Amino acid sequence: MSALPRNAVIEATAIVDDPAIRSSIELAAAAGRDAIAAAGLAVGDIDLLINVGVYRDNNMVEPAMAALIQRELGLNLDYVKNPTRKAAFGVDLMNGACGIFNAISVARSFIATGDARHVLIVSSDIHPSMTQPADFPYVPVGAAMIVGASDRPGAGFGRLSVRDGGGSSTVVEGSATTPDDLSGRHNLAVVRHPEFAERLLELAAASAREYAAAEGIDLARTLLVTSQITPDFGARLAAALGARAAGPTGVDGDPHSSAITVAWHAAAARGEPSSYDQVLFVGAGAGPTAACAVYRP
Amino acid sequence: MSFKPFFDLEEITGIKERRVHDQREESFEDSFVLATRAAEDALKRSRYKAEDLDVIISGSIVRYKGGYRHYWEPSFALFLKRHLGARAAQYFDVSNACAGMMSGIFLLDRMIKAGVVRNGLVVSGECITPIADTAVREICEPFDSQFGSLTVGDAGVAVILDDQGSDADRIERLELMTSSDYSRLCIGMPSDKTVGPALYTNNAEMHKEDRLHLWPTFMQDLLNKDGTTFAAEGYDYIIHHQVSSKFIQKVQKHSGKVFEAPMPKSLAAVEHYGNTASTSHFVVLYEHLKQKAIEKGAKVLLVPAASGIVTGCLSATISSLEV
Repeated sequence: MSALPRNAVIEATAIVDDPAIRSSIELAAAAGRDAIAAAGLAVGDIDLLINVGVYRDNNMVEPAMAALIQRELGLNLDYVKNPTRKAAFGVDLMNGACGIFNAISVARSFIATGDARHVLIVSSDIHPSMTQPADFPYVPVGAAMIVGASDRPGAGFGRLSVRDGGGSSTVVEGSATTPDDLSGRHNLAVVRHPEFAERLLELAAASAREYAAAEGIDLARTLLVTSQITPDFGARLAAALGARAAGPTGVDGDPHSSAITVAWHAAAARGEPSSYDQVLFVGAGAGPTAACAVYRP
Repeated sequence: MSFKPFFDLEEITGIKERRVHDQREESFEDSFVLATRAAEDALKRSRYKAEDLDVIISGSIVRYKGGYRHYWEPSFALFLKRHLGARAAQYFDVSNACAGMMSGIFLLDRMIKAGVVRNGLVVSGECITPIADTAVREICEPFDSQFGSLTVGDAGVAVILDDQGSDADRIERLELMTSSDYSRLCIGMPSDKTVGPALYTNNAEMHKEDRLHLWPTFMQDLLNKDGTTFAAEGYDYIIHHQVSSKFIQKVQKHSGKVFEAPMPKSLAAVEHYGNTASTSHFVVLYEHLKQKAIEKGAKVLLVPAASGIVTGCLSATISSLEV
């Protein structure tokens, strides 16, 4: 769609993978705190907090994890006691491993309309038991990305593409049944199709090709920042597309809803984006879903 | 209940009846079924077909599909998109306690204003009464943290928004905020005493007069910034979160004092539906539109009050909206 009145750029990111932190709320809050400091902002500069994490402490469904994370950050604790120019709002936004793409689209919108100066997008995934059982396929990481306005011509995020792969299998499903015993707060089943990585790779490649063609992006001059569904997912996707994959993320395992922030954080720290015309964020996960967004720092 | 309260629940809540999802195996109504029916009903009376939708946002607290299986991924919105045949639509879920619908509409409103999408469907299938069953099993003392769970009812609602607003039909003001110091006062998660989901509310803290101050103070400041007043806005009706008749009366009285203005007429459905969580304001709107109790051109103010604490306002002029 058309160019928005204000560009939305990444102002800072932070990753927390401290194994001593066993709470999704604390992981996301710790990353949020670090990102706010890295951006040189005060907590009160955040107008919108979006949590895109999926798996959380004790299978809580209410309130939004965002509200609990917001409290940890000390952001808009009580509007009556401390009224602010713009009272912060927090919300959970979930779309498996691709939620961050939808959150970026929302952040872009709030920045374009002038409703937010800085949007904090946080994520984390932890098994509801707050332990790490062998059958839980995701690595607990807290990630935070601050998206803000920029006047730099041509800078920022472009259009978002979310593609539903359709078909009879959702490829990845995470759900909690009402169990027969009292294990409800710890109960979770993440089921992945035996060929989930291949299926997601195919869908991500098809989606990225279509997106690049529609947006006029030369993939050979593009840095790919991707999900980390398998250790070599980014490298294989880049090979399929004729693009270059960002370097290692430093996180061992699949950081799920945090994967894109994790990958960007590592690539940006090494200065990788400056060697390319643009960055293409490509995510893939349950549905199957693939998401793409172009980004020019 | 093993414990007999010393008061009459109907008398203190004003709830005479509430709806409970069909639990027969052949016609089971989970969150997905409720959401689907509401979405299909909304599409039927809309100028849009499913394939015209740019985005689908699901905003329920509970996401049961295939019985009492709570889905974390894929998103509920993806399942809905496929079922409805909304081929071109983006999709994601929001979760924000009883402000889930309002939060979905808030995000969609700004996405439309920014030109990122032209239209969208916000939907919630709230299959929340299992928390009432847990409460009945577990409540054993007066002022139990699960008393509020006895007031809930099931419902599905859907709203379609687009960029074709006119003076006669439009959202005028839509703002939400979270005062997060109170985010731990109302927590929903599986029980560890009996099998089932539960909601635990610190009622004494949650319903303190200070909390009642959050909405009118925020609203007053918004209006001041825009150089207007509550009275000057000329709201015809107000719809509060349907916690109980007493809660609504209390908010009305308290807010009137803050605004120093008479409060608009409160529309309610709590008597017949109970507290239907994220769907509550839209159940009220639907019922009153159905009864033709909202005249064309009326200005309606919706006020959320959700765990978080989330509050804010959605004001809209309604003329052609029919159910």
